[in-house]
Amino acid sequence: MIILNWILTQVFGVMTSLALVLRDETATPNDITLSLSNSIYYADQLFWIGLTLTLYPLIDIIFRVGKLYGPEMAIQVIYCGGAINAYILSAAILAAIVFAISFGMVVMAEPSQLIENLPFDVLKGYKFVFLGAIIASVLYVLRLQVLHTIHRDASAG
Amino acid sequence: MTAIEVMGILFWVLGVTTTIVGTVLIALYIIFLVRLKYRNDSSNEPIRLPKYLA
Repeated sequence: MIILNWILTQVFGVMTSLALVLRDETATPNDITLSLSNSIYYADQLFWIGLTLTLYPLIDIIFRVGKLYGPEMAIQVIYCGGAINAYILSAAILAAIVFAISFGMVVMAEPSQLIENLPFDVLKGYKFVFLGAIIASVLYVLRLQVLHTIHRDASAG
Repeated sequence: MTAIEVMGILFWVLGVTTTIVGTVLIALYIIFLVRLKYRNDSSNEPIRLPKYLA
């Protein structure tokens, strides 16, 4: 089950991010509440979930194109084409770059300074990129699941 | 306008576009999956994914 596989992968990212949020909150409590619009202040912790979200499609496509899942999965190479998949993967690569940039910037900056004057224009779209990464990752798995279901039904019937 | 501002706008556009387009496509895929689940099995029509979803 592809969706289950994806969920299992995301659990690692979510757990790492949650562990880091808990650790940092107990060490130095932050005045800013964790919400979508304030997500940039938590970019160093959210990086890990972003990493699993964006790297899942990228690593999965390498495995599928290279037939690394095994010969019985070779049929799934046909799932790798298409404009939607190309868009999802480009969005995932760009989102991964944004996560890496924001991780570096937030780790290097003092949170208090960051709150006072957010000089990083590059980070203004962070919340949308984060949302986009979640949606692109879900879309990738959903598309695979749909194609897999069609193929299974077609070969069964 | 500095280069970093342009990059910020590009990332913002990327995020917003992916969010909107992605949500629409997710809805279309879910509708297709539901229709697939409740399709009439007696019909011998082959299952085809619409071209815009392929």
